[in-house]
Amino acid sequence: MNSSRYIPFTLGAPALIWQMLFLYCPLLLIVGTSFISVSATGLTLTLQKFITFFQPTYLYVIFSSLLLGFSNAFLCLLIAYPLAYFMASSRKHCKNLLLFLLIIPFWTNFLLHVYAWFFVLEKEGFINHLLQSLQIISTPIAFMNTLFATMVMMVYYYLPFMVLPIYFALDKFDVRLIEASLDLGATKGETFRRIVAPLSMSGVRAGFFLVYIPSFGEFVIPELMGGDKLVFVGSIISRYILGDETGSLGAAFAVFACSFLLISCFLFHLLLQRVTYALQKP
Amino acid sequence: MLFKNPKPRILLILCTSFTYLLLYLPIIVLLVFSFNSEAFPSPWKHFSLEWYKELWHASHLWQAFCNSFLIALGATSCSLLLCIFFLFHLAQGGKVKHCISLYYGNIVIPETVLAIALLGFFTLLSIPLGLLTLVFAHTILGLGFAIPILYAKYLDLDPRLTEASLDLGATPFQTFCSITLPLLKKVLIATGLLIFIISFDDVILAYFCAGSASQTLSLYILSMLRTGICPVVNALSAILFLLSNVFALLFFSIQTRSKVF
Amino acid sequence: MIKSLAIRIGIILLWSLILLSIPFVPKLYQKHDKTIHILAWGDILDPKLLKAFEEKTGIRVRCSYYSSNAELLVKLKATKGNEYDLIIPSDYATVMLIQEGLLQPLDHAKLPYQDVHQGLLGHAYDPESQYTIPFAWEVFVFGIHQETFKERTPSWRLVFDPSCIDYRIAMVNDPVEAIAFASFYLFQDAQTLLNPAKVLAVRDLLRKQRSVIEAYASFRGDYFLATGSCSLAIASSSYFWRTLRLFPHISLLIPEEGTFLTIENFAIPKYSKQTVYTYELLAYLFTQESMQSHFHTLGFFPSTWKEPPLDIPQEAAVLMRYFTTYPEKFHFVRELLSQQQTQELWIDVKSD
Repeated sequence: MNSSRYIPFTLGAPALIWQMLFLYCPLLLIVGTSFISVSATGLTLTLQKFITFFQPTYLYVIFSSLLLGFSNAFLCLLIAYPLAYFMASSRKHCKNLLLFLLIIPFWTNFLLHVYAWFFVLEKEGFINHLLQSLQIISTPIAFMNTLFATMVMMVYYYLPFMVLPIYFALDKFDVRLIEASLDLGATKGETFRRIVAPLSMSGVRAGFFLVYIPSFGEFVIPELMGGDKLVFVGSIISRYILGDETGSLGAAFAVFACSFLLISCFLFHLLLQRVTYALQKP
Repeated sequence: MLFKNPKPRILLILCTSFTYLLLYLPIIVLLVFSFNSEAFPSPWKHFSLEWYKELWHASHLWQAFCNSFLIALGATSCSLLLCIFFLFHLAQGGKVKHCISLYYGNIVIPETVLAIALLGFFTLLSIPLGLLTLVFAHTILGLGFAIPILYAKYLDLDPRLTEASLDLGATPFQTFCSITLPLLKKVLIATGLLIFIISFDDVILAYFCAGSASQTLSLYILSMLRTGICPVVNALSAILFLLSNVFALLFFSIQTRSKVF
Repeated sequence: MIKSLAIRIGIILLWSLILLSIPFVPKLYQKHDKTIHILAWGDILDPKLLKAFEEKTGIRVRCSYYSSNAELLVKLKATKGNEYDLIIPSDYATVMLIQEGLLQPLDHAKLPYQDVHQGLLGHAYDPESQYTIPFAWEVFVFGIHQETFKERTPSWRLVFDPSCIDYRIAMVNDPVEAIAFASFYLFQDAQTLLNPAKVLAVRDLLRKQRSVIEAYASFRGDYFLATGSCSLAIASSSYFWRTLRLFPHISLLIPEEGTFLTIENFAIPKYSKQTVYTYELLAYLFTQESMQSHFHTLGFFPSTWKEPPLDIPQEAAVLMRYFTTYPEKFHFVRELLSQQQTQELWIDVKSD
């Protein structure tokens, strides 16, 4: 028996162990603690925490977070698809330039971008100055501390996550399919609807979930841009976790909210599949 | 591609330009105001480098910057090292096909959930929170990028090259070092840069897992933002923006041989 | 077959052990000599002063921060307080710390109790000043645009009564403070715990207030005033001085019914062993220069000022004199509900 044959395993094991130890164990831990309650008599299995969360208060917050995630993903899709399409259909040098210009802002710390938007949207900021100097308005409009400002920042931040998967999907597109379709008599619109769109759906799906899932847990942007006037899942979790008595409730709430997230993801997956089929119909 | 006639094309061009304009508008305004002598919301007074001088003397900020840099470096090297060893194991016939899907969860799970899970885990095991725990946390994110990307690229490699090398008498270790790794070099560097930036920028994991004695740059900026406007941050953004441009250029010169401009 | 499986499991366990023990390594290298660990509120100690102290005495000072009293309790309980040598809790956190037995009695001979402003000592949370000595204090005030409030009486009605509010407000973002203010306005009492009927009344009041709120921000009230986003901002006095200096149209109001006081105290955790160095640091922090510089950089009123000095802003001097003359008008913020109830009320207020 050669002991050196275990060397590859020894080297390759840490990657998996790391994953297990620092991702799956902690996740199992918080799922586990949500079902356990510590009392004077010891640990007991209980659903009490989850029952607490079935109040309108918490359900409303989860629902608004889901809505926030969905509207963010939808708006990003509306803006990203034409952009990705334009990029994919440009010539090679232009393509690289556009990609480069898209990614540069992504490399700077996102909080600095939040900070930068203060300068643009405030009453004394760039947009109000511009509108006033063009005499479109006479008094400054309050853009900040509104849902509008929150959505602007969220779309701004998550746009590259939506553009890149769609761009890569469209870039790999075989142009001959379009030529064949046009040759067979389809109009440009039909070709787009029945050929291009369904085949780019893999990119759309990737982008959608890359935007939808993180937006669900977002709490820094609504606090800084929205004046913290609305509560989302992330805010509740961060407040509860850092508290003394509410720590385990926070973990339980995270599990509770994530189960809603998982269900909604599954539903969106089905929806996107349906859309793909519907697009292909004559 | 599809639309050859000008009208929709012009519309597309307009949409694209408008989007890019909005992408860059805040940064440009921020940079302009970093040279203002007065703090926002005072209007433009006159050009001054005052905030850059103050930035130079803000020792807390540079400490936080160093911390962020070290953490990002640590997380990147850990992720890449673990990934390379994993690929070596794979190259020697390790059965890992099904394990790859385990790594998709790293970037899909909302960061808040990951952060509190790690916080609970570290607290349970009484692990002291600090820079190292943050490196561990960022490595999770890094592995989520590194392993799927490098695995996909590894599968794309021509197996005949490694077979030829083995046939010519090289040990598996030599083969891996001289053949496989150089072929993966470009992707390794690109992924490394990506992980570095993600770790450097990260706010949420640092918010929960950094412990209170160590301050990262993101946490520092967050605390400044929560207390209002501080013009030193403008100057800092200008410098970070410059640095990130250099990084992005690096990334792109590796990704594509063709000219950028 | 079994042997190879056993070897693999052994390798896995070995790696797990190694990975889990790596974070403990820095602790082994910590030098235990001449270092003080402080746990403080974010903006309370001037880092330049601490650096000067380090250079003067060679004692290293390491600061950790907490952002809410709940976090302070968690940190102290987790480490049984033996990781920290000096903590700076605010008044209502001190009650809980004393109850849990986490503090050690202070040596009165080594600390300048006689220099401290009388109005800051002898309060209910530590009547004999056994465990704490006040370091700094601040007061909740209304920052206002002068023109909007020229003819109006300073009162909590300006914040809570919808019939007389025709402007935007920046409210505090801490639920404990907001509940205390609302309770004071409704029942003229911010000390008794709330029963369910009162909880509903507080919630409805805070909900009605939402329509006029520009933003919830505990630390940025002055910024919203300066940008014109709101005309009234409720915040602690220390956040206003720099804005008052830069923008002359902004001023301060103290509601006539009374307002809330926050006293930041020094306390030493029970199991701390570096008390010699801690007392040295305290002696340094209580010097005139240190106190003066703390006011000018961070905005807190030093506890050793019995009279307002000449070089502070007009409004600050007025505030100090008001405190000296009418100490009964200043109340403490305390938790009127359990943590979970407080958070749930706050979520209820912010949801529709």
